[in-house]
Amino acid sequence: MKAKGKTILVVDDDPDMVEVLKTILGGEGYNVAVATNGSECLENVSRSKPDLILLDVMMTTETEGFTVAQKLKSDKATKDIPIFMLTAIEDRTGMEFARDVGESFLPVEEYVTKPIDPDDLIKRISKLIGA
Amino acid sequence: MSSKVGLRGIFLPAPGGLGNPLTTLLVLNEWFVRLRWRAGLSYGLAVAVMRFVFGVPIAAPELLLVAGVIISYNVVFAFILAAIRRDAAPRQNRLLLLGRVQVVADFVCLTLLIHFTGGVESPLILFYLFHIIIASVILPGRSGYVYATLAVVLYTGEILVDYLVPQVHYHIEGFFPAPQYQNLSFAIGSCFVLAFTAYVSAYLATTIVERMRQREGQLAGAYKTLAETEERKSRFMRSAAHRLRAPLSSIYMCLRAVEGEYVSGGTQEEKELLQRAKTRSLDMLDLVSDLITLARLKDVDLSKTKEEAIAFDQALRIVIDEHEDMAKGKGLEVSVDYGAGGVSVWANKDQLREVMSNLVSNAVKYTPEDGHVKIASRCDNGRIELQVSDSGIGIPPDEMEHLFEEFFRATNAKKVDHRGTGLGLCISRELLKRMGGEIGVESRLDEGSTFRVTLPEWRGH
Repeated sequence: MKAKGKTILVVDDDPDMVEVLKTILGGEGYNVAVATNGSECLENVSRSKPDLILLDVMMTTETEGFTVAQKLKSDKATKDIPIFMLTAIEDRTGMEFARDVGESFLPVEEYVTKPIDPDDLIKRISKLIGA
Repeated sequence: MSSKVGLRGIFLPAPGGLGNPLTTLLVLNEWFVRLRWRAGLSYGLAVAVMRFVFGVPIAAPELLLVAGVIISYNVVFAFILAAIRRDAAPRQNRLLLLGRVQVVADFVCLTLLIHFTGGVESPLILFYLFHIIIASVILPGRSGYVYATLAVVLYTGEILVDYLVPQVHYHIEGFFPAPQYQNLSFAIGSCFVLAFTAYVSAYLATTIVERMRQREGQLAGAYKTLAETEERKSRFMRSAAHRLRAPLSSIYMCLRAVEGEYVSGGTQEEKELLQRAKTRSLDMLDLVSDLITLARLKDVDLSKTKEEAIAFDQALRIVIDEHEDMAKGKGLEVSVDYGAGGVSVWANKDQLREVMSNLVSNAVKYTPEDGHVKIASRCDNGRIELQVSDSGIGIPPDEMEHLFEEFFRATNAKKVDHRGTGLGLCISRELLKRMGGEIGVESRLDEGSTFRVTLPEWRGH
């Protein structure tokens, strides 16, 4: 199940995690772009829309991931890009994930706690954007 | 007129906290009103029994009238208090006024009762003391003395009236052998005894209550500090937990990727991932060591660390030598001025070394190639000062205030080296505090930083 030409944007400030994700996803045939913080992410997206965004919740600040996701989902141009959130904190920030748009609900397509088994990651991603 | 509501029921803190003065005042007023029901009714009963059962010739109608008055105004007080209780924002001066009115009303009625039961011959004179004590408890400050004075004034007034207007005097036959209201020495004697007892009671009650209020204040303060400390601890725990989880996640993923053969780039790429996992593991070891150090520091058990007199410059020299290679490797120019010769500090050797090492290694780490690091020590008037300056990346001005916080790393520092626990300066500050010293910093972004450490000189004994 090799993906041809699909681009995944990985947003995480941990370079080791970024490297592993690049390796795993690259091995599956995806093109991987990288951003290490919220603003780099938004910049990257505005330059060329990825097919999926793999977004870490906590980067420089506790809620940076959420803020970025909120921005992406409220912008007409980017709200259709599926977002897959990675969280190491197990929902302790008090925010919830759901399918509806709203103030306290953040509409993302998938979320999972780190670390994640590579098989699981690949399976969920291909469900979201196909192979 | 005994009370079944013990004082203990009033002074215990309200459930869910230490109570606030306003609720206490409200509760105390209500208690006073409840007392009065019992007092008024039992007093009315006593009058009825004495007059109609034992046939004692007391002035029943007048006495019962006063009882009626007392009960009536107690009803009014009860309504007022119920309204205040329903009020979302009760006002303190209203409650204080109510307390004062209660005491004054009771005093006046008591004086009337004393009049109707023989004036100077009446045994009820002692009842003034109840109110003096209650006033000291309910009302603030020196109120007890105020009401002691009021009691004396009212009583003296009553005796005077009886003395000057003899027809007014009531006399209970058989209770006192002969009317004494014309006996001046007896009257004066009674007044003095009342005054003495009243003021001493006021003093005792006021002193005890003041002490209890002080205690309450201390407890409230301690409680607040405790709550703040708990909050800080929780925050620290959450930060620490996250900083442990993140590297572990990455390490796991790296290892899992290699194990599960997700690496398509061959053994070179696999080796890279394993190296990353290895490096990160070492970082975690550093972090855990630092966390343990920090935890130990916060646990104030000073007897465990061995302290001694340490020659400052000598210790500094050893630390600088340790970092010489790293500095040379980057082509840094290091100049040192040992100006604290012959001067010693009283400290733990390892802790002093840790502080110095932290500053020197930071200077070397965050100064780009071909820069310079200046280290100088001196001693002025019993104060040792160590200065470590560099021509490095500096500290962003908006991040300066967070510099010594746990886990904090400046954004430009993270770019130079993504790794780093963020605990170095935090630990250094704690260690210096232990040694009686301080640390400060001045910095300009992209130009360099200067860290200044001061410590007290150890003079020998």
